Amino acid sequence: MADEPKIEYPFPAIQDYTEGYWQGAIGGKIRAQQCKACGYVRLPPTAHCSQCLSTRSKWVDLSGHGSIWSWVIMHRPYFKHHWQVPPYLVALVRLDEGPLISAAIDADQERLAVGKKLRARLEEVAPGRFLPVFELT
Amino acid sequence: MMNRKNVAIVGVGTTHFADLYAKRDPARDEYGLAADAFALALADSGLEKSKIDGLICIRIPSYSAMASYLGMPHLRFVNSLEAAGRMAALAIQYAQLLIEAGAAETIAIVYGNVGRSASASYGGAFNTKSINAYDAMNGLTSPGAFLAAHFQRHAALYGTTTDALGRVAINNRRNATLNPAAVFREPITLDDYMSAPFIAEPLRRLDYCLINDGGVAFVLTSAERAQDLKSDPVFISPVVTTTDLSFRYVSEDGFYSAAQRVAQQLHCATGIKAGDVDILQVYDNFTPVVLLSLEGFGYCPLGEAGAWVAENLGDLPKVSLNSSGGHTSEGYMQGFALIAEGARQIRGTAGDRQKAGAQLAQYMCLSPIVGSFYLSLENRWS
Ligand SMILES: [Zn+2]
Repeated sequence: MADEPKIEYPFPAIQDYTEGYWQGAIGGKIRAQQCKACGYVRLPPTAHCSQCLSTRSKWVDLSGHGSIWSWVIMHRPYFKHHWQVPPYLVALVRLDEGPLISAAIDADQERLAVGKKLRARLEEVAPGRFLPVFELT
Repeated sequence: MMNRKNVAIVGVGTTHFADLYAKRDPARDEYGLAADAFALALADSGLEKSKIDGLICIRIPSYSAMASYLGMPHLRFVNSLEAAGRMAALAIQYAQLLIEAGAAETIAIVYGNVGRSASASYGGAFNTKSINAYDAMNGLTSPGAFLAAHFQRHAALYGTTTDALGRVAINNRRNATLNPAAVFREPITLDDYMSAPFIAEPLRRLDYCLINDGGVAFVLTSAERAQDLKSDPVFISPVVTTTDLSFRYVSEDGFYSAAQRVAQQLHCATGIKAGDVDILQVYDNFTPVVLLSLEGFGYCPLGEAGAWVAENLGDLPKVSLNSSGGHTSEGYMQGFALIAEGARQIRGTAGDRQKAGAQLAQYMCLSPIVGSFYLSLENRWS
């Protein structure tokens, strides 16, 4: 295990098929791609639909509601200048619309349980970069 | 199983992991470590090097350079597999299928790892155009973190506690005390386990595989050819693999149904049941994987691995599991050394840690590629 993180903190590249996601986040919404050919909803953004391989998609605003799939508390730094300072809590959240995403939860660990309902707010963690932070409902 | 050409491991070689750990050397390379292990495996087999006509390289920068380094420029088959633990069962499977198909007759599998000397890290390796960046931006980056999340879910669904993980770590370490080549040989207690720092909570440092240097090699050939060799051939059952793949190290059911599929296919192909196995070699990049494997491969019902380890891996273990110390104590050779240990136990050459009367070993790897097979001195799979 390396003692000091060597990697600069990375955000996903903003490119043609991801731009809509980041614009939605600025507007306070978690957005997903809906395939124009088969209707499949996917997140994180990709160029192709995993179901039918179409590259045509539109952005849909998700409800921001989900539930806890699991969570961990990270005690070590992996990146320089990360917006989260260890120890920090990061969860895998099952969105009501289906996708499983990772995100912070703004709650004490003692209050968490698998399956608990969550609601997202979007927080600017770096200039122009809004990430979902979930609260218990 | 009619007309299958049985395949056997006829040579096993491993480097001395503890010595390599004691002497970190940035100039050390994978070729040298793989060659050390290969020389041992070849000597063990009693074969002339010229008999090797296939080469499978794992975690080696270039198969071409490796073949050249070993003085084997003219092979019938060569290729490389990526540097991942899930490749160990696949390497054995490929060799088995290639020999069965007649594409090669005698295959060397060589693995070299300079993880410690090269300061390898398993967290944060991705690029920002990759889909994994969406997890990394939230600070969820390492395989250990994903396994911690799987364990957290197991704990929530079945009441499993970290005591069960501690027992796995303690069992590995106790086994390592009997293995002179193991990196970590100091016994540990549950208190030691609980006082180790969290890395990705609920996982502590002692739940993690170590990062070390070493090489492992095997020589495999057909049962026919194996008959004429000096050392005991270790016959390989059909290697069964399946996948549960996603862009991250996550499975909806903790790889349970994938492992169940492998277990069922293996049972159909061999007739062997979990209770028949003397030596369990369980891939353990992180201790929760042992619990998930015991359930998935049918050693206990879903959700009961905590009780199983309490019953079977206590102070006087009833079951031999990771008898050379596993990835948390012997060294992290990504499954290859676990397979080497399985073969040694079956041959009765495991030294102080030899289990008396061991006849059947099972290698199990639960990961996005699940793989398993049995090892036996008896040619029972023809
Ligand atoms: Zn589609």
